[in-house]
Amino acid sequence: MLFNSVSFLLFFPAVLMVNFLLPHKMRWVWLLAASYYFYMCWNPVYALLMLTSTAITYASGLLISRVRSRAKLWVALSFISNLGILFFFKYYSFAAESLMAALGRFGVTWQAPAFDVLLPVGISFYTFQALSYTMDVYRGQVEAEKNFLRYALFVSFFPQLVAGPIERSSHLLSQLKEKRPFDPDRFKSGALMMLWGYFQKMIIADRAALVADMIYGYHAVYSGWVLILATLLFAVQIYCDFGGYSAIAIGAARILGIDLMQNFRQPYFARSVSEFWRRWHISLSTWFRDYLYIPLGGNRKGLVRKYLNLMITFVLSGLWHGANWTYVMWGALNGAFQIIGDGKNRLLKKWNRRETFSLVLFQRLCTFGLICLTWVFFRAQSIADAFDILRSMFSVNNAWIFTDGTLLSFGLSTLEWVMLALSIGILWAVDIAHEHGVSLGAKLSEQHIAFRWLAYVGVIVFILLFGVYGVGFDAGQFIYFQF
Amino acid sequence: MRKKIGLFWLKLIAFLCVLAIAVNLIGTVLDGGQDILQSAAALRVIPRNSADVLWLGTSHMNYNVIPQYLYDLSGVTSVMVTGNSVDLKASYWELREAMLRQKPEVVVLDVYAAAAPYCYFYVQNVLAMEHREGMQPGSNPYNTSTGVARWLPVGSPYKIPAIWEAWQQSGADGYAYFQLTRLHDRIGSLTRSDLAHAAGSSRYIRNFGYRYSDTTLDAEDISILPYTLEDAMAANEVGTYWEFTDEQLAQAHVMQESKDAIRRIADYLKKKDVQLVLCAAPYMINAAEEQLYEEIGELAEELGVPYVGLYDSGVMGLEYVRDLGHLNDQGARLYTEFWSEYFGENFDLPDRRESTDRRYAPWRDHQGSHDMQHSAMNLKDLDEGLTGYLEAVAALDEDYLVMISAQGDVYEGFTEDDYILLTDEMGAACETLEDWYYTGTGTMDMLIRGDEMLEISYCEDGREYPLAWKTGGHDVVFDASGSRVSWTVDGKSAGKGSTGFNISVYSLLDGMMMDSRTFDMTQIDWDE
Repeated sequence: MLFNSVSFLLFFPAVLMVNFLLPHKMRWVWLLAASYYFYMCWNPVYALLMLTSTAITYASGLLISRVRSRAKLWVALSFISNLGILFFFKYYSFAAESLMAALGRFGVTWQAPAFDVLLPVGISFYTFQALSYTMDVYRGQVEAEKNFLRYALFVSFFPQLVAGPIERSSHLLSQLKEKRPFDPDRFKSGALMMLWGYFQKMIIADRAALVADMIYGYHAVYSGWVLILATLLFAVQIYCDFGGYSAIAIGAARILGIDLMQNFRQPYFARSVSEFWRRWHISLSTWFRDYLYIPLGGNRKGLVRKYLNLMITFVLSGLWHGANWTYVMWGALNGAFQIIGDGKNRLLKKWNRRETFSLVLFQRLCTFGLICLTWVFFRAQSIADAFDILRSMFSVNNAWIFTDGTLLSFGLSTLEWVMLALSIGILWAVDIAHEHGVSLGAKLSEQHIAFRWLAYVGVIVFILLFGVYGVGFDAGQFIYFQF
Repeated sequence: MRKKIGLFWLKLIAFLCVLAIAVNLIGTVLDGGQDILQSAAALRVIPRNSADVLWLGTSHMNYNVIPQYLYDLSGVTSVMVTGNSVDLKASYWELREAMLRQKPEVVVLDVYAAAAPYCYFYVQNVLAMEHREGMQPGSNPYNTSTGVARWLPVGSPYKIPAIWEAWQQSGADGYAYFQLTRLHDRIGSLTRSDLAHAAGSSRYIRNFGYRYSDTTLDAEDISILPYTLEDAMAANEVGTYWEFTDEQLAQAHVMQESKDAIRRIADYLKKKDVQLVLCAAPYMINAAEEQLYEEIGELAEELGVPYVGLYDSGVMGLEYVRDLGHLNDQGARLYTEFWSEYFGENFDLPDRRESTDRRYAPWRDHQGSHDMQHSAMNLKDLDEGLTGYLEAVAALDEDYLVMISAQGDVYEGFTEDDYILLTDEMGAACETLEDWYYTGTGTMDMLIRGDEMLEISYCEDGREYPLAWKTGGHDVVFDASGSRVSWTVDGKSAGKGSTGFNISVYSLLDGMMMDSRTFDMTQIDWDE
């Protein structure tokens, strides 16, 4: 059940209504049932997999708290079993193919057994969420949850189940125990958040995807500015797709009375790649920081070890995104850029630079450029393709494509290009406002009811009119569902 | 806090109502008379409780019956509640929606949908005449039950049950059930006629859903394997153009679903104390369809409702049909005359022609207009010279724009009779016309409406194009390129011409060109 599907638009109000009609004690049971139903709409059988992961980490939590002497064993078992499941479903084919290819170079022919399995939706997300609970219990940051069903809801809470944010038990589990009366203000702000998410997804992301997919799909015939344009549009697409999903998830949860963590904070305004990762997919980057980077030693064991830890973290982060060497390369590049950035900062530390607008702009543009470079690897089908694309990007200066009608051959009409540009402009304006701490939602709430309603109706109708959906379009799958 | 929550829910409901209105409004604009239920558009604008008869069913109704003409003949007010290929289940929801605002005395339901699975059009797409589920799914590209569910406005009490029923039949995605979401792709290609349609002015609305056609079937264009149309015509009886074995005929029955759907409509109308009449319009049916129509006759008897099965009238004649399934305007007039007599003999429907009640104004205000419309439609079949053609054009009223453009030397072909027609009948008497008449050369452009000339332009040497004129809120443009001349009205093409005397007739009421003709004056003896 996609967020931008009619079934979700029927599902969510129904869940909401029943949730607030039920007494508080029954609400989380209802949400659990709804969450499993939500997941089973994808594939009923794989709900058992999620249940298995839930049971393992629940048991590990109890065992850790009751048998502290063997706490490390329970943690290890929890990690091995859950990561084993993840490995089997997500990485087995990749690992087997890579191993076969590597052995082949040495003249060894070996055929790995093949397993034709579908990747369970959201497995990377709920696995990490469940594992974070295990670690939090081990570290004493949270008490082991005794109520299995409540814990199961923590793992399967539907707004964030299939594509995050990856929540922490200390943040989400406690909320599930609290009383959550219906709050009209939360409803309004949550609904606005969802609207914003739909705008990002259906107006911007899916429209940009039409062009990006087409050009990347036939990248061999394109060069120069066409590829640059496609990469820029992909940067917009992935931000709005993932950011849009997160906004819908956070908004839906807020309406239900639950606060989820912020997952994006104007990432393309970052002034360095390090800062980018404090603004992009925050739930994942903090997960890797807290459960991998810091346990590896973080930055406490010297500079070389710090850089090594950083590379390991980002290579694995890349691998988390997908079973392909392109993701590994993407992660490695991000790690490398951070190392270079850190080195540069050390060198320039003694130089007191003034924080001028031009410097900030320059830093942001450079960071955006570097991130876009990494997106080439993220989007390409193979590393060879990625290098081809990069080579072709700078092989010719064909800036005339912006004026000679070429743009109209990429699947968008003039009106749609205008719509896309306008929408990106709106996105940028909203991000600027948020960057300066201005809450547009709050500002809107202060206006007269007639103005507010006009704005709400206008936005909803705009999304319905100009959204990419319906005949000829696939209800655009969210990019991060594949992870 | 409770008060705050209570107020919140009230506001939310009010907001959703406002949203529903906006969605419906924009959906209507996007529909623009394009979606399958364009012929039910008039329901939206006619006053409450104004129609004495509702026509329900498929295109066999909306191509074949002329509500305005029926009113002109007998004062019976009626409107279409139909859609192309709408199945009988979906017709029920259309009817329920119509009955929210209308209290007719009679509902006439065309039962083509029940026989459709055996119609030549579908049979050619169905292997071995196997039965299909439902009435018109499968080869019907629209899935009409989805279309009807989509047509119902947000807020209609029947929207959800219609969607539920349609979804069970088609499994269409949710967006297909709302005009705004299904048709949102049209936003980039909206025209003035879409806005006019939303504002209640389009030919479907103007004609109470009647979809007139000026085409006449050309036998040479059609062949029905294994027989040709001539063979069928020669047979002068139904059905022999499609060969069925006895075994196949034995399997041809009305689907139980169709019967149940008819029963549902009958039961509903009985509760509402409205008389139902079942009918089957004349068209090129085959032996299997004949059998099915007879079966429906039995059902009608069982239900105790009249059945007007004209299917056994066979083909009325090529001059009355537009294609193998529908009548043309001439045929529709004949069929409407039949219904006028039928109502007169079997029902006591009031004659609204003398009524001053505002409810009947839509029909009253256009009394006689169909005759005019019919004349205008017949222009393209007129096999007359310029004089005869001008006579026919001169008879048109102010609902028609006549664009005349004389290009080049017309001296020999344009006679004094023609000149008199222009000046006396069409109000074109003026010095400019006279100047042109006595030289008979150069370019002369003229815009006429009814018996009034609105604009005239004459260039003895050279040409001055484009000419942009405004009349009664309409933008008319004459343009030329090389030897070609063309006209547009409100941005829509209104004909093309070339060297010679060009006439184009455009219906303002219906927003379409009726005919465009060029009289080549170089052929000075063409009148012979």
